[in-house]
Amino acid sequence: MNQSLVWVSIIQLFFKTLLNLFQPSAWRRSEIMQSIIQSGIKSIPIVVLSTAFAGVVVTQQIAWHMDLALHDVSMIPGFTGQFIFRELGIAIPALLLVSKVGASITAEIGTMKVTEQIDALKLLRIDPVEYLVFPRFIAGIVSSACLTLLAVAVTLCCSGLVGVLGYNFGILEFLNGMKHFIGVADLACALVKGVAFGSLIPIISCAYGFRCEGGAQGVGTATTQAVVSATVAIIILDFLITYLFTWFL
Amino acid sequence: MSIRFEQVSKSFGSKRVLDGVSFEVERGEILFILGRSGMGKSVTLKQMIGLLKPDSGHIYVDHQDVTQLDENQLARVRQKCGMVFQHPALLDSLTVYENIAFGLKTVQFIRSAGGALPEEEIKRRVIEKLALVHLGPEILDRLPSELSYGMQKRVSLARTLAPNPSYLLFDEPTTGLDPITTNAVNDLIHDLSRKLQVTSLVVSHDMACALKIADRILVLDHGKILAHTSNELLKLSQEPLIQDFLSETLALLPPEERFDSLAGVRQ
Amino acid sequence: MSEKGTKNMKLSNEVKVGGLIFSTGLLALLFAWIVGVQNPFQRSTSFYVTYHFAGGIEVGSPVRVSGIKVGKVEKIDFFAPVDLSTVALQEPGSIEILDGKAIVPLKVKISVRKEALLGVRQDSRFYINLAGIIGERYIEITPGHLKSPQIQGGEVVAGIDPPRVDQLISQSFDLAGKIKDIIDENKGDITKSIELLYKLSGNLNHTLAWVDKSALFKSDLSKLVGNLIAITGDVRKVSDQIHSPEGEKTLKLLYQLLWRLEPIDSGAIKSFFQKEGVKVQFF
Repeated sequence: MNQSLVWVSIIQLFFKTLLNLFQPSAWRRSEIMQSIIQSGIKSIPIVVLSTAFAGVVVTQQIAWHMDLALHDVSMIPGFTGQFIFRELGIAIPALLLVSKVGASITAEIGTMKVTEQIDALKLLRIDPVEYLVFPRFIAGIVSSACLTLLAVAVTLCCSGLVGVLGYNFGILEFLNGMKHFIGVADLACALVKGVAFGSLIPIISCAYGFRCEGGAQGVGTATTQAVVSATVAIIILDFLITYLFTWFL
Repeated sequence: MSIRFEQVSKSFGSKRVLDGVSFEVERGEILFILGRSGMGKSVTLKQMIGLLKPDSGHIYVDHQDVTQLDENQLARVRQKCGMVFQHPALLDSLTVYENIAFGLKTVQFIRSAGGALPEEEIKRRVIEKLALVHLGPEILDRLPSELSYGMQKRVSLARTLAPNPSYLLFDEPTTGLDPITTNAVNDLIHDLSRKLQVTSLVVSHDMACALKIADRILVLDHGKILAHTSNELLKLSQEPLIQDFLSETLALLPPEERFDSLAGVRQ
Repeated sequence: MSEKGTKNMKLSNEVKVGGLIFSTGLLALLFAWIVGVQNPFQRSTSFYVTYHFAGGIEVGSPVRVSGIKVGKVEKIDFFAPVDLSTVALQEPGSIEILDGKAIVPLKVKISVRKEALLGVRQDSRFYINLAGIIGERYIEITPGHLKSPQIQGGEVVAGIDPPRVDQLISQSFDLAGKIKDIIDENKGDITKSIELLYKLSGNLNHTLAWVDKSALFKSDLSKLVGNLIAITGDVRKVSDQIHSPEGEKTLKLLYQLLWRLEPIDSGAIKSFFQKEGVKVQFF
């Protein structure tokens, strides 16, 4: 598969999906709900588990480095808070969503493609983008935004726990320390990233699914490529959004 | 009301699947497209309803060139066409009932029917179409994954028939079906064409079926039309491939019938 | 799956999704409270402060009034023309005049919340300060007198430049070089001085021992005075040798340096130099 062509088709698909926003028939509630359950609610356990551990690890690492370099751990809340709000609490759920939700979307759509279900849809006068992509797109945005906030909360809690238990911080002291370093811009940045990643994952996954060819093996190849592309895209987009935010705010 | 292919060519990569194919199908006619696997039979059907675009050439459905239409206009052409896919292609997340009723609930169908059908009317039609493919109403609430492959395929056929299309495209409709259902499906195609003037294009490698119900047979090989004649004349063809096809088919018939079918032509 | 069953499932799906969105909304509110959003549409006023040197201020740096964060640096313009009246001529020659306007090296736009603006007046001072161990730079505004007019939006005022650490260091190098020169030139004298000092301390020892031992301290007062005279004489000898013109210059430089260090207001540096100064004066 020609990579640049894939990206053209991904961008095309993105705009086609956006057009459906203004089409009342595209807003099929039960489908969107079902999709949110699949991509959002069923991802909660894995997101909570991974981010909890990430929070502990990061706090301990930052504390260790601060102790080593500055002989002072009073800045732990601020540093971990900022790191969690800007990167950790956002990137981890996004990457988990890629491997969990993105892969399943590609596999599902790819299977539909090779078993001619997509053609059947077209013949039933159903726009596959409206019918298949749009609910997943909306669900992706909602789930990702929710999971991002949830992940940030869980990571902060675990980080706070390490601070309180391991480094003798008071809970309010920790919160206050964090407050000094986190601004409204950080919260906004987290939400913007959550929404951006949430819209990116279903689009990339669906685009690869639609390009699927040649049976089960084709589905496997497409799924792998979709996960790789989405992961790389998220890391690059993460950089771009962070850059824009630090530039403008 | 006709379908006309004019010098249609299509390649996938370096592989030329169709090479300047031209033919015509009249209203109410049953045309069988025969050929070995991978010889562009399915591609021919998919091009007719715009699922694939030919590299060159024109395809006219009711004097409208489908190669020049956008998605909206294609949707109107597809409204008139029903296609039975090689795979059952049922929507996995919907029940049998929802699958069959789907085509009756789309915006385009409602527009062409002059208003939404009442739920009872939809249900009546769904059960009627299911009966046509020898299935009872007890499977209506099942999911496609709970049905056997043959049943899925018949549900798929019922779904295609539900909006009463005027063109029916079959991509190997009887592959994977038992002989009794195969016969039933063949009879169905025959009846639809004779009684309702439905035009049918059937892609198959089942020569016996073709000989039985086809008005004309088109044999594709290496992107070219090898033969395009009535089934009676086909039997006289000296082309080695057609001879092979015929001998395979005739070998399955009991000796006296085999003799009859040949003798009938020779006379 | 019956129709009814499907409906029930849909309902529970909606409840689940509703729960997810609701709880996330609560989380968002909690975060908003943590990061301290009072009112996103809070009105603030922007005005400009000019500097020649801004010591590491950047866009986004906090602005404090009486030590409380009330705003931030919005924008930094380089070599911007401003009205002459708003420029404090701190360093003559550092400001260029062009078409009746002064070109200041830095014009910093800052925004300050409305309620904190009450104390920001024409006679307020705009310092650039350093906070915390990572050295975050911020602008500290001291409140002005109430009779002085309040600063209006878009106004331009002069800020107070932070101490130039770079200049300080280069001057210290200068000073160190000079001290080294003096020592090199007067090597002989200094050796003598040390000898004298040695003798002096010997005398002192002698005197102290005598004071210790003698019960006749009061009666031998004349002897003690004689010893003291001898010590003073020795001290004057050392002092004379150091009081060359070069030494005078060094002392002057040290005083200048001390005066420059005043704005830093760092007790440690000041007292250190004061001590040194006292020692030199002693000689």
